[in-house]
Amino acid sequence: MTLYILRTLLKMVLTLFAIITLVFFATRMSGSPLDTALGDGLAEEDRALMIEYFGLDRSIWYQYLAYLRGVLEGNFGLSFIERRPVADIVAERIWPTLQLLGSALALTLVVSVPLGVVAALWRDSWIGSAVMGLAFIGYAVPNFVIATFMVLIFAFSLNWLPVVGNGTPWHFIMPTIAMSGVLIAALTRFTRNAMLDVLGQDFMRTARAKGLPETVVILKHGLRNAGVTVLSVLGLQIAGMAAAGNVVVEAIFSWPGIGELLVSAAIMRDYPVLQFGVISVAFAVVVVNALTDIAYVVADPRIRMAKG
Amino acid sequence: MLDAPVLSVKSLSIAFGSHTAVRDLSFDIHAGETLALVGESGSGKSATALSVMRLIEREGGCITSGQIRLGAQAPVDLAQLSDRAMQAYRGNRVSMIFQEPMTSLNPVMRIGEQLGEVLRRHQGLSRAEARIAGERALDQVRIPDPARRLDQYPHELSGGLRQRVMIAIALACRPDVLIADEPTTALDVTTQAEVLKLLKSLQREIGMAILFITHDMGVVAEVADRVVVMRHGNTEEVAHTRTLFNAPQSQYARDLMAATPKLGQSPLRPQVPSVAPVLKVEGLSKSFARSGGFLKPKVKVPAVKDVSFEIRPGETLGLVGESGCGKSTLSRALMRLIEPDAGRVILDGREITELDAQALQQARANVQMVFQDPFASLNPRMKVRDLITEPAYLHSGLQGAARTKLAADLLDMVTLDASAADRYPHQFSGGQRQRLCLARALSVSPKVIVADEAVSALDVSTAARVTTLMQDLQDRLGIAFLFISHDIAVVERVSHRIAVMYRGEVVEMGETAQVLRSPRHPYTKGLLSAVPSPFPSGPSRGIGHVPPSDAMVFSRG
Repeated sequence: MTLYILRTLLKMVLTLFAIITLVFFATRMSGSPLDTALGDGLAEEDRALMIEYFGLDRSIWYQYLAYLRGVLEGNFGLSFIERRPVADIVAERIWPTLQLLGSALALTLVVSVPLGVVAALWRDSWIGSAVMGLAFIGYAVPNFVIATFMVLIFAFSLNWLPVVGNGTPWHFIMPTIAMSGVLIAALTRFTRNAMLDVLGQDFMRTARAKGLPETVVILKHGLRNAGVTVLSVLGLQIAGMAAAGNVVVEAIFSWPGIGELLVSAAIMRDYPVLQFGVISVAFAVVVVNALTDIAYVVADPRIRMAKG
Repeated sequence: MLDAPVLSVKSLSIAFGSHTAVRDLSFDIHAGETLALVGESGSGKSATALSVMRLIEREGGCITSGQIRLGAQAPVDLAQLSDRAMQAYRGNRVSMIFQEPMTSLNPVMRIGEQLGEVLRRHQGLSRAEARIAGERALDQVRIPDPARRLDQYPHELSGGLRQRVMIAIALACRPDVLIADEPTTALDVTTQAEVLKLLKSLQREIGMAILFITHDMGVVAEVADRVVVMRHGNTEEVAHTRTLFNAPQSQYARDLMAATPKLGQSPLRPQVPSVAPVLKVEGLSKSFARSGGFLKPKVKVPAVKDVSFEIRPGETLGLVGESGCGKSTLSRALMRLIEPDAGRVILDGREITELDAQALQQARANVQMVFQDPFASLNPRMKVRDLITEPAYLHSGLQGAARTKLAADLLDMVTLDASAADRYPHQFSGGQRQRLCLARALSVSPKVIVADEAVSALDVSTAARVTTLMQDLQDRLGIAFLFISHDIAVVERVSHRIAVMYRGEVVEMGETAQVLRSPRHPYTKGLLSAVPSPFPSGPSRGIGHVPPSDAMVFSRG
């Protein structure tokens, strides 16, 4: 199994490398940054100075190698707008985003797993239908609509919760709920399906035949098996959430995280920041996928055997 | 045997919704006694077994009337208990083992944990104590190296070992009654013999009563003291085993006996005239590559090793072997569904091993296959008419009125009603579906039909009807059959000649009478001695000598 983990990590590193390269060439394909970020109306000599300073007159391969060196050193260039190292700007922003993602994940697990189990056990009654109905709504309603409604009700009308920033724990409530809406819906559904699959299996009957109480049968025998399937789905969903979900939510609640940074960078055409933002999002997705692969192998002993 | 029965079922009736599965069933079992509940599918035997454990409610059934009294002194009526109260009895005073050991064990939990669970629940042992007791339990069911097994997962064990683990779990708390629901049906003949022997010796040690559910009369003869024969929920006959076999009272029991193939008792088929063979296989070999591990070269696993045989027109060659011997691989390799590594296959005088795709397609019309699972072999979305004429359509573009006529002719050939053409597969029973598969195979008038475990999933009487149909078709149309099966008694009934396969090689081949009456190879001898005989006082080999099965010799992992 250690071999499998090492192989997975190796694949992860190779993928990251490919992403970095792709980002480099992709951004340069859409034209020189001189056209927009550095502004029009530059005098010819200033323009030449700029070109030389940013190394834009060198060959593409030189630029590429310089770029790689920069990446490995942690130097992602300077933000065009703030004239500060990109790495510093991002470092300030990453922690709030991680906090938000973390709390959304926690909320999702705490809510959707029990709901999914309930929906599976009571599938034939109104309880099951009600849960799935809610899940459906959560899936269909976009997170910014949920966010807006929450703001309207809890902040403006009732004045219970704060809207802007991340100062106190109260600030976490609405953004977390907005972020996890879709995830809860999807995961509830997956948990329910996985449980339904498991409930019909023979080993559940054996567990009952041993005289185990029903709760133990469902939770210990049933959920453990269902959990394996759910885990693989969870990984993918987190990756998706990390990639796209946080941008809108952070913008609405002015949450000082990466998503908000990316939005303003895109508007202001701050390419170095944007470039790094894309890389970091891609990184997050790749890392989460690799971790999910490893977790899956650890959780299901049958796969462990097959992978060696 | 004590006077008071340890399990007494009185007038038990079980229903699934409006359908009555069991009607007014009564029987007693005493300590140390084995009662067999025999019947074909739909007879209600499994429903009865689940009801004693009160697990029937989970499957959608309910006990409509009757009593299930457990205990010789101060009996308790299990039918009256709540589910909560029943939990104290399950696994403790009444235990059950099931048919499929692979799916009956939790795949993500270690053996030790699953075994320890029942001990900790009913005997209040700590984790460490449960582990010691678990090791003892595995030892009691003769599993070698029990300490190591405790930490393994179910998929690391073979079928026979898994069933032993299930038995260990069931007997860990020394129950009064053990219910065995077709425990050996999914196992090889030799593994079955071992498991039955184990159960008998455990019964002598522990003294529990066994309620043994089965459809195999041979197994009944080997293990049961008394028998209850059921059919469509009704009790047809209750008797001592010897009495049932020597002088069955009810018509159904007599029919069942007649339909059961008995090794050494089937009439022999006269040999066919010696002409040029219609199928000739020479030196066929096939190996599979399996990854040897990280940075290690791939390991070659030989599945079929240098197999040669021939079949003459109108002849049936029976191919016998246990699981993993390579018989399925062989059947697919000779049809080039899998490409063989070496060897030649000559079909109707034409060598097909070297043919290109198009020529092969045409040649395939001469050899057709019937598979084991009648439920999975027919496309559920197609009407019968389209299903059974599909090969003809693919080979010669048959359509329209001609196709409809062919469908009608084929249905007539397999003795099914013409109205079947407009129906869908799910509307037919297993035996009828297998006849549809036969009809499909016949649609291109093949010279050879390969029947790969074609009757293994069917009831005894249905299987008898299907094999009779095969013989009729053979006599009329002169088709050669390659009849593959693990059930030697059935093979004896239909085959002119028999080939025995073991670990990829044909170890013995010859006329049926010679191979079965005077076998030469030790494996054949061992295989024949492991077959349970339906004649307790007849020419029975018994399960005394049991050859080592794959479970013991070739350990996994």
